[in-house]
Amino acid sequence: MTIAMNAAKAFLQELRHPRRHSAKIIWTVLALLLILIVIVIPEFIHPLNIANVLQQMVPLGLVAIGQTFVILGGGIDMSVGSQISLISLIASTLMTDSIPNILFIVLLCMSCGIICGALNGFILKVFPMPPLIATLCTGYFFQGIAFALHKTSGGYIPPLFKKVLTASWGIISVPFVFYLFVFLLAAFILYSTPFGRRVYALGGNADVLEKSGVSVASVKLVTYIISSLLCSIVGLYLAARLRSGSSHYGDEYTLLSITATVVGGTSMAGGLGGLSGTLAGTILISMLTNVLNNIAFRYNLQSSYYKDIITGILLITAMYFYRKRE
Amino acid sequence: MKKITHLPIKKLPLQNSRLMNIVGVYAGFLFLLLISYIISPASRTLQDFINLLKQSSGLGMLSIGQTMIIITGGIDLCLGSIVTLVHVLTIGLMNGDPNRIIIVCLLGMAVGTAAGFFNGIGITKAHIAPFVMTLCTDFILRGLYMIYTKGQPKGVLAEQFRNLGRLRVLGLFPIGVLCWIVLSVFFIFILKKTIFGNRIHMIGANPVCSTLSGVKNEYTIILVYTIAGFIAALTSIVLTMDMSAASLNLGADYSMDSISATVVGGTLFAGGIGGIEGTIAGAMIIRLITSLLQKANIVNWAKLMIQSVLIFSVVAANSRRKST
Repeated sequence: MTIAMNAAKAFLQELRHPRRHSAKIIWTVLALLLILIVIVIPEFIHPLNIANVLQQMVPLGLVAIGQTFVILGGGIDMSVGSQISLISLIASTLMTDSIPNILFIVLLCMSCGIICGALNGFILKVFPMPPLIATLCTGYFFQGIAFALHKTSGGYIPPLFKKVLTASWGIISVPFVFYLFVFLLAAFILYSTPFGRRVYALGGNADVLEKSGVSVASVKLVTYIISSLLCSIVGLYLAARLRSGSSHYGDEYTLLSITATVVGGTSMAGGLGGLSGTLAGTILISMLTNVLNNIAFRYNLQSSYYKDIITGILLITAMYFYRKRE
Repeated sequence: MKKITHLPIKKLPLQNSRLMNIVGVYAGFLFLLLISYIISPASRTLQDFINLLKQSSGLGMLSIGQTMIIITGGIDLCLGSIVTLVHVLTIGLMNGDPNRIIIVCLLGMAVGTAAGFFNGIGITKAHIAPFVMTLCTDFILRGLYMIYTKGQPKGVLAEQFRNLGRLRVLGLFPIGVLCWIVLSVFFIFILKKTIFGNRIHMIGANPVCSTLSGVKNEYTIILVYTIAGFIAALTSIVLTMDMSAASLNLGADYSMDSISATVVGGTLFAGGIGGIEGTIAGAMIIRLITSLLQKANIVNWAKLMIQSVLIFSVVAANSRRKST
């Protein structure tokens, strides 16, 4: 009994002074919020709705994994949104019905993603400028290419491609299984390989990393490539789901992915945090979006407007909450 | 023992180059102007130049706030949303009634100032990185004006208000250009000659040093963001005078454009160095590029790409210079 009391006391203390990795906090908040939501809106835990939420969180989850890698390394990737739009447009412009063509285009899009990430990393390697400016610039550049391809939305995605990418059986769906796979792989890379430790070291103290004989620039390069590769997959998935490409698909994902990462306890300064927090952040945002849609549908409101406001407030609150942590 | 009379410190290139920088920006502007005159001979008139000034005035005014923010080492990504929010509020609330002009304008300015103040509070009191804070504010404001207009802005301007937009001071200058000139002169004076201006530069150059020498960084930063919000609201009202109907895209490009104008005008992203005198030319350069691209009818995509390359190359050049 006393042990449980002490544990509870220690946990409360940690909630008040989040010094290190604070994924615990966000999971607690998530659980409390879930209970609240289930009480207010009982239909939230209907299996169909749960399946829907799990499927809806996949694009954000994938982008947020990449963003976590970049932010842990002390950087930031403001170009994710434009990359998603660009890849969705490339896919929808070039795809035809034949299977070899589809496979080729998928590979092409993923290599485009890798090139985008390599560009970000390369710029940061050659020019000593803050990552914010560099990725903001490349983001606008990619957005410009996307506008050049198509002003708003269009293109053609074969039905087969959509069928494969969005297939689902009850609660299990192809995108969600794929997300779980990527998440586990990313967790393995981050926690059990030398590269993962280098990412933490890069965000914690890049000088020490450089002095211990690791090329800082190449670690940074790889984090940006991971982020962009995941963006290209999300671009393909969004194009398949809506059966067209658009230069606005990615607009919201820049802020959303930063929010999911930061709400999950990853420090903006880098070197602190982890993927489990990001998973919780992603679930939190998808859950709120779903609830918001539900409420908006009831009262005949436009949910996307409120979603912007809530995302902004959520990120400000999270940053305020984590402000004392060094 | 030999007495050291002269320390062998090389003068950094940066110390001398501020003047050269401004000369370079204006030379670049004149060069672009020359190109546009060569391309279209029809535009070689005084009227056309005043048109360019009129087009640049909104961006120029907005960039004054952005410049001061970037000098403190921050960045503001929500100025465009402030412009749109104040714009739809002004038109929606005025709705053709001339009695409401003054109260609606005051309300618009209060909204813009409040948004800037909110940014400042978040950045200083909650220690949120400026770009995250202003990005959040950007989304919140966007949500607010979309909720207010429900996606379809309504309302009409009072005729007297639109006449104000048609007014030409001295028979030449639109009221926007006049506002731009007055604000620029005023804030150049503030930045160069007052203690407040010194503090802005000092915070950008070395925040720790400024704290140690007794500057209250927080108040200065809050004030700078609040001023930027106020100027954005004023810009929005001046721009609204020329509009016939409300538009949700009015402010869309302004955040990016004002950053470009500031950076092209020679203000360092790292903070501490820069000024409004360069930003004036920067704003005109950006507008000139836009109008050239409009003539070629490739404005929607080429503008983004050219601007990003422009910002990138200026920042890259500056960062190289600073590191030598």
